[in-house]
Amino acid sequence: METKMTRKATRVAGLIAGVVLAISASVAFADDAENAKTLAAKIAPVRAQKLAVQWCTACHGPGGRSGTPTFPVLAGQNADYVVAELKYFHNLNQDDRSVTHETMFEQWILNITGWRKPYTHYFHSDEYTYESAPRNEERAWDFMKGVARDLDEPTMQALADYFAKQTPVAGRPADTGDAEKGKTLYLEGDADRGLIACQSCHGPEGKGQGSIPRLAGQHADYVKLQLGFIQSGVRNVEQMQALITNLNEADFANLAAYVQSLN
Amino acid sequence: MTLNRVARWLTLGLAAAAAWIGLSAPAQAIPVFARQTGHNCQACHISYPELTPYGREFKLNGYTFGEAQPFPVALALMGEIDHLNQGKDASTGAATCTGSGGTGNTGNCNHLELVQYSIFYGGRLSENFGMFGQMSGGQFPITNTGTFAPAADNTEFRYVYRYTPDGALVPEAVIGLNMNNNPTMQDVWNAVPAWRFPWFPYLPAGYGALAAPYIDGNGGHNKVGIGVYAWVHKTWYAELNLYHSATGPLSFMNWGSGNTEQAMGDQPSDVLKGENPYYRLAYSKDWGYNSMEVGIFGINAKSYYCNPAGGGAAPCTTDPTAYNKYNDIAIDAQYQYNRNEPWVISADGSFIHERNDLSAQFNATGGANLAQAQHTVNELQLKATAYYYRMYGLTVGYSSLWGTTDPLQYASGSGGSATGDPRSSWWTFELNYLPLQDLRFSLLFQAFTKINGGAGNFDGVGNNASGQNRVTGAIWWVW
Repeated sequence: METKMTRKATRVAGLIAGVVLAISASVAFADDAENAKTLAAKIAPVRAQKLAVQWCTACHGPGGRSGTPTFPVLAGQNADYVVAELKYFHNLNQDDRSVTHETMFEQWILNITGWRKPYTHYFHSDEYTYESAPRNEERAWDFMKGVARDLDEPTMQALADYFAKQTPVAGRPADTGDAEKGKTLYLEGDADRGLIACQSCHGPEGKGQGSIPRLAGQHADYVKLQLGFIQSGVRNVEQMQALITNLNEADFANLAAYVQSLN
Repeated sequence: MTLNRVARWLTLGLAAAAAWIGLSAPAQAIPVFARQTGHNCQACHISYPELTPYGREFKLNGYTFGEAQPFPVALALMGEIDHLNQGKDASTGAATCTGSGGTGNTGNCNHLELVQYSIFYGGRLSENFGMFGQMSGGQFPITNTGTFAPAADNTEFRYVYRYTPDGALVPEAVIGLNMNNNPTMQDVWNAVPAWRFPWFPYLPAGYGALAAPYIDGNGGHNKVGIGVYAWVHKTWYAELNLYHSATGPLSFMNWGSGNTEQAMGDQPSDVLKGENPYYRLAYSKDWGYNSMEVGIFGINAKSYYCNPAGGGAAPCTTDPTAYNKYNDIAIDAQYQYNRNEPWVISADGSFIHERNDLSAQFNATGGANLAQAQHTVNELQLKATAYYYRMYGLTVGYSSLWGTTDPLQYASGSGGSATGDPRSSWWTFELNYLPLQDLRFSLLFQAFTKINGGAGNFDGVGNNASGQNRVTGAIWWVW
């Protein structure tokens, strides 16, 4: 027969059980979170290999040796630079609605069901600010914003490592631009116009270092276009914008022709 | 509730949902595959639905790039306003719009139509499995059952296996299984009948249908093809598919528009006999900003003349096992120059040659509407497109049909032929403006130089080919 004492005991027991459950659950979840992180780090190289071979090649070519100047060569590119670019592209998704391209309806459903994809992590740094750009720079964004949207940091690092160890593309002459003039600008700069020698950051052989990209063998058309975007600020590379502000289209073509010719 | 009331409520509901989804979408709203991959439209499209090399890769890899989305749905609305000079439906005799001409009708006609809404769904289902799903409803009689009730539109499923030898930097080949409900919709080049220019106008002009080869598609989505393809080294494409009428277990691929043999057999060439082979071989080459393709495709179809299940417009008073034969073979080619800015150029063309044997029809009708059983039908389609900053576009297309003269098949009378010669040719010009990547305004001009064997009085009752010239304004909005 249930007495007042029994009811109270039941309630207390229930309370204790609940607390114990809660504590063990949070311990378990914490463990799980740790395990998940380790697991993610383990999975990343496998996932990156698959992504690189199955998806990246569709534009960047086998091993990142792209045949179309629209898509830059990635083979042999410095890993830190690739990671930085992927983070930048990932952060372009911050514009809240385009994060998952959810409609209001979808957001409502995902919120009330609690089933939401974890697009909450963005890389916080001044380097990775979102900027709107005129339509012609949307090219990188056409493709890369989406590709980077679903990459986590371990996968980005693994992808970068994958491409860094691929055989670079050989140097070759460009269709336009004067490589000799480009060589002078690259190795000596132009004090009158405020340009320090490109080699001081990008290296005497165009191989860059760390998060400064390798230029050797890169598509001239791509380099030319990027120089223009950097000059106008559409592509945000603060260290460079001031340096190339007095250069013109011909200079870009010459520089691009020179770096494409490097091995 | 009757079908009409259901359709009306469904349309209202869809319209409300569409409005909510549409109004809440920012300028960069993009459909199913775009949401899955995060890409903007121009990654995969010259201008939808034309595909870029990357768009072709995406489709041939089974729509699996990117991440599967919780709500893989997108919508499209297509509307047009037409100005035609004259027209009279050749089969019913009713004036779809009146105009000047030998028949004595007067006046012009302007039509404003929401011609079609579509709901797209699918995309990546797993790493190796994906689908393209579309359902549509609208004025264009996809369903033949009434206005705005939705029905299956182009739909396909793909399972892909990427053959990647150890150490390979890129898959050597993509092998795929494919099931689709419209011959050539599974193709990735832009000259095939399912995807070629123009995509407007939907509203037929006042004349009856012109001669056309079987593979152009004359039965909606009532044929289901199951087949296999190989995309080797991104250079060679080979496909073999077998088409069967969408009956029995395959009927789900043609939902909404009548999927029993009885319902389908309303007109000749609706019901296929057994399995009918479709083949496709293409050579593709990409270099720099250029991309080109040349290939062949074709189908050998056997189609019952009368309805084997009884009923419909051609009941089997004669031999129900008799079938018409259509052997279509085509050559196509395509070239694209895609530097992204400022110009993107594409050109494509196809030539389809058909030999048909309509003995079943000839015997069943005692030669009443055919002078002979065997015919050839030829179709040439050419077009060239240029886009400036992906915002302003111009396309010029030339179309030409010709084939065996048959004074009974192409009989005189409004919209018919005074001579029995099906020769027709016309030009199509389209101007495009895309203020947003997912919204396209088009202005289309069609100029007919010949219809059914003649320029002036082509049908024996006073209609001129140029009388069918038309101006069409169109909107194609996807989100």
